[in-house]
Amino acid sequence: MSKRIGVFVCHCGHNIAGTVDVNEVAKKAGEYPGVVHVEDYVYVCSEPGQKLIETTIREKKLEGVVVACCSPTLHEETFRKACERSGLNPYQCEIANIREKCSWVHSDKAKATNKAIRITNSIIEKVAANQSLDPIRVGVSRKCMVIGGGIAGIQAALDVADMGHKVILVEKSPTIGGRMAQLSETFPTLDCSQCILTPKMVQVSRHSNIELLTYSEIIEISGYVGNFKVKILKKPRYVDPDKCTLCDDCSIVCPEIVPSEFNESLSPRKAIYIPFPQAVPATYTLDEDACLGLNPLRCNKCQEACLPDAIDYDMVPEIIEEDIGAIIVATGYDQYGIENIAEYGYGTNPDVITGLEFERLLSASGPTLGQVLRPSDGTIPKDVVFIQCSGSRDPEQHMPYCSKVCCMYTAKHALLYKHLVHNGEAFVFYIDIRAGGKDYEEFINRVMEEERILYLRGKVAKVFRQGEKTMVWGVDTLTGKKIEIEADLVVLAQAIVPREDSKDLTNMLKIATGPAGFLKEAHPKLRPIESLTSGIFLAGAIQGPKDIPEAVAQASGAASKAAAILAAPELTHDPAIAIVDEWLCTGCNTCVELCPFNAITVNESTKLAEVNKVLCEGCGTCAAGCPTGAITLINMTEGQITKMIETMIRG
Amino acid sequence: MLCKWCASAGADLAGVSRLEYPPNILPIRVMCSGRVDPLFILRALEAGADGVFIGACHPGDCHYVDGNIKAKKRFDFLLKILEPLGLKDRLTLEYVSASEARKFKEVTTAFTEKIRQLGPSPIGMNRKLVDLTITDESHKKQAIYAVLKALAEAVGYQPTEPFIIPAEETMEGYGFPIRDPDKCIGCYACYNICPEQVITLEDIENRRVFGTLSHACVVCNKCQELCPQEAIEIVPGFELMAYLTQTPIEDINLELQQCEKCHSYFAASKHVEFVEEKVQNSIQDLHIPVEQHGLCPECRRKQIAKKIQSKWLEQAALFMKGGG
Repeated sequence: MSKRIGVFVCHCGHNIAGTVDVNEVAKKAGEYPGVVHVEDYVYVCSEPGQKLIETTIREKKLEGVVVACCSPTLHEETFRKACERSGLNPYQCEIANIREKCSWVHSDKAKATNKAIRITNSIIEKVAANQSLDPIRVGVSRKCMVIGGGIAGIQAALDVADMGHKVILVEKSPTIGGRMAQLSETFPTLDCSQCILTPKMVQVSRHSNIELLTYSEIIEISGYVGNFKVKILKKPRYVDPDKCTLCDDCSIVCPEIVPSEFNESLSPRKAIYIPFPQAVPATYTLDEDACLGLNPLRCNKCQEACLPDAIDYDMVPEIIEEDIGAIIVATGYDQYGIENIAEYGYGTNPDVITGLEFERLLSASGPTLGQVLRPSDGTIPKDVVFIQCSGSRDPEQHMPYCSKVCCMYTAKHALLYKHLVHNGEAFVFYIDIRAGGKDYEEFINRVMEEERILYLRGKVAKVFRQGEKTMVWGVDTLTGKKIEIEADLVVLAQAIVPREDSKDLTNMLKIATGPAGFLKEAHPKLRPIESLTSGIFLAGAIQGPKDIPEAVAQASGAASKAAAILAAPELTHDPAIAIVDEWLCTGCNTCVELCPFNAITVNESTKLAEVNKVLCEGCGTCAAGCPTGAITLINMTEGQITKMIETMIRG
Repeated sequence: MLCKWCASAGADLAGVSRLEYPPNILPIRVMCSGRVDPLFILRALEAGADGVFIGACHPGDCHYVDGNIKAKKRFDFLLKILEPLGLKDRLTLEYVSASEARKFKEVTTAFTEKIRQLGPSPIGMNRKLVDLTITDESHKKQAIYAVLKALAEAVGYQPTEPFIIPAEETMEGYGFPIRDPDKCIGCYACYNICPEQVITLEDIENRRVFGTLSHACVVCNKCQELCPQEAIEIVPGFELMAYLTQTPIEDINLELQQCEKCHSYFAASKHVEFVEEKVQNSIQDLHIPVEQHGLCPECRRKQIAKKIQSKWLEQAALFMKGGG
């Protein structure tokens, strides 16, 4: 038996009725099989209009409703709610758009009326085959996981925690702080980076809602929004943080020396070390790989030296399993390897350094205690050349994109250098200056005008060693002159690239990346914080190069998005999703490969495709690609769409 | 057919901006241009549409990552197929964003004008439409086949030579098994497993010929997974003539073994060799004398039966003697 359908045709004052003969539309709809009630009304969306729908549903026992009116983006929800109020499933109500797509764009009344009839009738066909649906409901694990303890991760963790939710902050290295902890001063205000960062780091360690897991890695993630299952590997640090008093005795006796990661290998550290004095958690860590050996033969020097008996060689890796509701990814960036750049000597010249290395040279806590000394011989460089866009904006050879922060930090570098070395000369090679942030342009102008720093517009062709000096050959494209500088130090503003080790993580999270490996946002304009997998949010430079304020802002955004999930009593999801016909499915994997959300899997034992109801967004690209038609979209099936097409064309 | 997020929204904006375009543009809103099944386009043509317009998001703007890119690939594939049928120009895919109301007006007007110049569809509005109901016995690919065949008939297209669409231009789900002649032993496991009877097997004289009915293959991979020789690979691709005429694409031609006794052909020689080798190996371990393999199953059965019978008779005679 066919469904009892009611059709309501809206005049929308003159908006529709002016061009479309609404009586005719209603009359023709009334003749359509299955339609038991038709009515045209001046404003169906008005209170009385909605009442009309509600009472008619009850009186005529309607099983489907078509409202021929304006765009569904405007009133679909209004009318579906009206249906719900009288006990009709909202998914049995559909809109025929005869205003935006008909009456407003045509002037010939007969033709417009004809088109409106076709549109209305095709929607009647759709409703006739619509299924009643209930929103999909799932519970939520009330805990957020933040991956990465840089400034973005710190901010995100603090914000979620301040909103009253539990947070696990997972950091791979022994301390949180990330790149920002390595910086000397921050542009454009020249705040000391550590001075503004370390209070936040301490806040993280003290916050009752934050569980901090440093020296830890994610090894497995499964599940979906609200219900992720995460396995975290906590590496042994062989030092009990509660007992460690930061006395440094262990480090003094340790015989093993390796380059310090924190100082960008410009200084050594011991196998047992603390990355920097303000590290959080405040404890030493024994680097297993650098140590002479824990078992069976131990050098044992550190343990003997440790008075509080904090060192325990018998610590073992620990695997922690957590139920997580929302995930924030903030794994940060790396610098593009200097060894990739041929024209600057593949990183073989010790006096050609990266921006981050120069940050460490400038930092008061750095290897030179804030003195600018060049790496080759420890002398003060008198001529320093800064090269911007090193590896950036070079689609032929390196990265095609702009790394965004280099113009600003190079200006800062030049300024700080001039403040430290008064008789020094600083040269900056640039393609153009991008200072699109608050007070940034002013800062650049100050550097250019007040600090007597020579800005040269052009790219550097070659950098090579000549005796004690480093020769820089370039062109000033403004004057057209060749430039040759005998430099003591060359600082490359290396391109920003996603962290190399974040690849495994992105694979585990099953979130999409762009061509350069930065994580892809759900929509470049409207959903810049969400990943394409719901429940996973992005913060900081892993989504694309960004400066501190931007990273912090995005982190706060991600935090509020994550908190919204954690605060919801349950999650609801649109039920108009893909569905598999088990009879037709051959388990061929076509849909699995097509799905942009990894919502489909082929069951190992049944060899049939299965749709994860929560991950499916209902786009239908699987249905279009399925060879047998086994997978289809609920309420937008092949049968419905072909019927709509036939009705549209043949009337 | 318009994507909900971009072209449909762009069309709505054209409405709000009162930008007039021809009323013969009949809109159907889908969630994503990636939802547009080739079946829909073919059905529209079959029903008599003079043209089909797909409105998609600009590349990179898809709400569902890359549904529009997938749609474009499928669309281009369909264009290729419809080219020899003379229907290619009746289709278009345009990128229209939610803000490009003016572009929507322009492209729809231009498309309508182009179709007007082409004249009405050669298919006409009065054809009886192919039944698309999917029953226990049918599936979508058969529906697509039926509609495409109906279109070819309607325009009077008769393929005279192969029309191949290369693998990289073929949409997902279109392909067929190809056997490696060096590896295939002619065991016909693939023929038996195929749920769609895509694989053809014909014994002509002393040769066994395998082929593939490309129009029916649903790339389920079952034959590839089953093949004991790993001789089968499902490769994407499309060939219009074989598709429309339902002729098998033949790729294997093997010699058949003749029975020493009744002289009938019973299995591919390579298959017999394969079995012999396998059996020999296992029989050697068991110290059992090797059976004759030059016989067809029927003759071998008879021979074994005869042996058993004579042995039994012998024993019966012995028993009779002893008992008597």
